[in-house]
Amino acid sequence: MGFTRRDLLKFTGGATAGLVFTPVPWSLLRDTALVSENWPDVPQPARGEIRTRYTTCTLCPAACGVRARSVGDQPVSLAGVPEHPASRGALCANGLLAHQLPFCTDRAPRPLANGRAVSMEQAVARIRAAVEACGANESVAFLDPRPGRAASLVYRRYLAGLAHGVYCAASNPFGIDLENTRAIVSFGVPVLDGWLSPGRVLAVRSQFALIQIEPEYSRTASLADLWVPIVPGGEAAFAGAVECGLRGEPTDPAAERVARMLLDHKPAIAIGTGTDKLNAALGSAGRPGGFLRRRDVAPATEFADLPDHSVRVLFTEEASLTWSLIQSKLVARDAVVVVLTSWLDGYARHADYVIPAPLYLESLDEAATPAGSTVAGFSLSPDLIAAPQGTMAPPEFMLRLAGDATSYPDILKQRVAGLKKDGRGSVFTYADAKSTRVRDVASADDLWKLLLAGAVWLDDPLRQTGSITLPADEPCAPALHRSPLMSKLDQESGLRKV
Amino acid sequence: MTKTKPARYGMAIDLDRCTGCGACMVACAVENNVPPARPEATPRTGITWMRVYQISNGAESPDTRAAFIPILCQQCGHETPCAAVCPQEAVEVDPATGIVDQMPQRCLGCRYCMTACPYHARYFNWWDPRWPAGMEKTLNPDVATRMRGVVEKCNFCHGRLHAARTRAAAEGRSELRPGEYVPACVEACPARAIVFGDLNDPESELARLARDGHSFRILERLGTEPKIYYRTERAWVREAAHA
Repeated sequence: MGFTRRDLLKFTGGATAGLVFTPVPWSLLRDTALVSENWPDVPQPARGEIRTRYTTCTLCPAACGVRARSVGDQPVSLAGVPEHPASRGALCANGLLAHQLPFCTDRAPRPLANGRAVSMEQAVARIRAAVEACGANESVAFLDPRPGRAASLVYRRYLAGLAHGVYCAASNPFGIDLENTRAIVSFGVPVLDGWLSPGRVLAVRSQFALIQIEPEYSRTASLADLWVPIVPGGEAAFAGAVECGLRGEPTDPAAERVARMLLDHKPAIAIGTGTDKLNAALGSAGRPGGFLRRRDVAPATEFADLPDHSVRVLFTEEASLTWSLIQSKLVARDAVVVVLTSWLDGYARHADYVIPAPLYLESLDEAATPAGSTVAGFSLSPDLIAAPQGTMAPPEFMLRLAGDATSYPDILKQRVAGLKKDGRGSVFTYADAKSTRVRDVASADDLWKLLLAGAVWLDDPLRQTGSITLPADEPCAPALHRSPLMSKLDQESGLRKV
Repeated sequence: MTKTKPARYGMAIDLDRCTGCGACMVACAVENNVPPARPEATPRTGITWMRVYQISNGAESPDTRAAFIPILCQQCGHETPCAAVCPQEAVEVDPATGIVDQMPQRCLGCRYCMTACPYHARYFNWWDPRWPAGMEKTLNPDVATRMRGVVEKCNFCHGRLHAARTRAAAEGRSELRPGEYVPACVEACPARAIVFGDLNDPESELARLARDGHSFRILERLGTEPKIYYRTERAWVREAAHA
């Protein structure tokens, strides 16, 4: 009996049907998955030595300590430094993604003059000429969003060498004794969503009552102990009504409720625009649980106080003032705006010159006193990754413009040497979470090395004497740029509406 | 070879501390090489192994209040629904850790598990994983990227567990110390709202929180024994979570 064509077909059919009940097709499918997983265009993580490095975040003034896990020289994840005295081991969502910012598409890649690419030399020459053309009744101003840095010193020095240089900054020489505060009345300040260091605020959140006065149902408003919706622009009027309530005078019922809460939770502070009088009524200045004075006070002119149409040349990093305010201070014709920024949006859209700056993690920089800290602070943010060609740190650019041969790292070293010479305060090192008195550090060089490896210097507390006047406005940070991965929050989950 | 005592890893999330900042979500995405969204991605088609939902008490202004509930794989310990329906045995409950593991290499992309999951904590890769040019350099070397057409979900940062075990083995230990292994979201939470640990260790902070009178598990009535505990002292939050 032979093997017929029918037998062949039956065998093939039977084998095919039987195969389905064996693991073979599933294994094949799995194997194809393994192949497809390793296709050349599928991204593969880089391999290399895994290292832990430390730095301090300079994205906003909170100056949080950062632990960077790196493969070779490339950070692959960022985390907080446990026990960091200012940030308490926490980072915000933006801080966690900062190592991805260099890959955003809207970076300023090269110097631009009125939207056209120029060389750095050309930019320096043209800006220098514009500064020299400044008239007798005109000024050259630098709007510094974060006063108190070594970079601020560079800007001041540059302006001091000019006939009409004005240094502008919203300086706030006061810290907030948050750990002893029992109530915060906030006029639109995002207390739980980007105010000071999140780790510091949230560590003591259960210890203070939060009253949010805000027209919008913000995240802070939604989590506050009391939210008082007011009409936009009604902050000052409501603050006045609360003041009346504190004095026991009849006032608006909502303001009376706020006043009662503040009287029940002492010490209390008020934050936000136009709260100086309310703070005076609360007696929150210069005492525990209130605003405390610290040493890093530097005189500066408020930008809003400049005469209208008086600024011929304006230098600025990215700041939070509205462009209409800035414009009102510029001379009517031929004003020159130089923006030292990493990004093509924000002020760069209005600038005559855009000087591309390296990002945080790309250049050696300084994080000054953490926002709201009750003592002065200083830490370094070393360059963990290489900056792109064509970028220049803002203080380096200003030194070049001034024709000063000193380098910015040298100025930072001088500052560290000054800290060592003063001998005050202590240094908290990130790797081992230890505090060392500055006077116990052998030399300025050793102090520099400690700070460069990841550390924060914190001053000794200042003895609070005499009366102090609080500024009317809280300085706030400019909007942050976002990593592409922030899509998890606003696009893929709808957690944040943008 | 020393026999390792089985662990039962779990979490306790304090909803009264959570501010909905999203740090856990982005830390999770960085740790597990989850790519940014495609322009066309939506909350239904995007991938967020941990997703924070905002709920409201429904009161009128100004008494309206919000709570934020981070939802991740609940690591069901009994009749794990996703494992029960997977035709490929791509889902497995690790008896040594209690972690519900997902093996993308085995996954066919049938999405039965997504249908079976009562918590909507599983995500399908609708697109090839893509990062903006150059950003691949920032990928975590301990975690492979997943291909299009497979399901993925939280695995309590398995790469971190392996790394902790490797470190322990190098030191001649067979067991991990408490706190030696924590997922990225726990580490990242600035409010310290998430506590991670071994539910089998009665002395652990997690076990104490799990026993707390204010703790509960979402959809506990289904009997799947999730290992994620939530804690709140606000009755309306608890009621919403049980709904």
